Amino acid sequence: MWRDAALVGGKDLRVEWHSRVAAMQVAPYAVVVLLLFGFAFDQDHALLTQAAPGLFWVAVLLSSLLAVQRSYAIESSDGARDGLRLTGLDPAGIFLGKAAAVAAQLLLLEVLLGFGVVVLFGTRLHDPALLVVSALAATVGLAAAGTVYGMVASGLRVRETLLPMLILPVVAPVLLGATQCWMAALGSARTDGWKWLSLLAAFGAIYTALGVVSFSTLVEET
Amino acid sequence: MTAVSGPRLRTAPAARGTGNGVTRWLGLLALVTVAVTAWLGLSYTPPDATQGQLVRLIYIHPAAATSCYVGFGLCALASVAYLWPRTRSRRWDRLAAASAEVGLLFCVITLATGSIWGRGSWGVWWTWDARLTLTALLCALFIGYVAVRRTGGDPEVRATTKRAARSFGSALRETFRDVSSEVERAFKEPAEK
Repeated sequence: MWRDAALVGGKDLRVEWHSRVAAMQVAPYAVVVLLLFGFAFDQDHALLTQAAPGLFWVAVLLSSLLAVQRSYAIESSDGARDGLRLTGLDPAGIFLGKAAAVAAQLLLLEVLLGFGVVVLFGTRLHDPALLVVSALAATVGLAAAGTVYGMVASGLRVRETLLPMLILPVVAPVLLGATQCWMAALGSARTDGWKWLSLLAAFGAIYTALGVVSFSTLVEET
Repeated sequence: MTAVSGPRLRTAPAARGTGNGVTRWLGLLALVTVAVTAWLGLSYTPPDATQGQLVRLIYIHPAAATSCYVGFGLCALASVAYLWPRTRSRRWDRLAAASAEVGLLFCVITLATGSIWGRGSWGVWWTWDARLTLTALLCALFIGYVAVRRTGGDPEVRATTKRAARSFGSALRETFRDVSSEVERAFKEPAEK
């Protein structure tokens, strides 16, 4: 399973590395979203600093939709999905590999957006450990849930419009938990961020487990 | 005109509908009771001493909320029954689809009447109360579910994948139930600045 995961994940990342779609389209999109938030709040610095954690995670959420869509778009051309099915790779491994590739891209994106938030919104760091750990946990949850629902939608005709409708309500807990964690980590509110981290960790664990268990059915039937 | 010779082509039997004697009587009974309820709720009962005319929403709102939860609960149970190999049958799948649609309709009614009631008694259309927010999320989840079901495709395939999607939804709800009190507290007591 792990070997298959490494194969699939490595393949996805290599495709991204060569096509540069994530770097040239998804990342600039996320930065533009941040800029638009600045316009929407009329460049009110105090307000932006306070809302930065929520805005950051909304930007990540929107970008994760693109990343997931992209992750399945590369399987849809030239019957690549049938090829993947015929390789005999462990479906759980395929799931873990695809989720890991999405997570790796999201993590890079979060680093970039983090700089963006610091530069554009002028936030200050309070608890770096919490910041990093909660970002990792939230990313695992986003990538796992996104990969599962991406697979559900991938066989359908209207997947582009359906995918956001499926993913966004489901990842609402991630937005909630990650925003609370980051509010604590950036010192914009005195909440107990570590308590919210458990919600993120539970979400990530549940969706990773469900993906591992159910992906064989999903791969076969979509 | 000469009659077509040879064996008559077997055409598909005309759709007979899904009704039978029992469902027809049930439907009639429902119509009558709805009319009686409307009369009782709108003209027979007096306005409430404190809430005034707003109290009439309470005749609809809790009932709609209960129907919504029954519909979604049935959908979850039927989905599990369909996914379970021993009880797999298309009947469960159809039951899940039907109850999800009914549940979604009542969920929208619940949110709408609740919102109108809130405007009248709290002065706002919406408060970010945990229960309200989670119901809205539940509504969004089921809009996605119904949307997936309506995309067509092989029913057998559709059923399995959507059952899987459905069970994730349930798992999410379970997660939510566990953290619900946590979320509620967070919403009720905004973080001290």
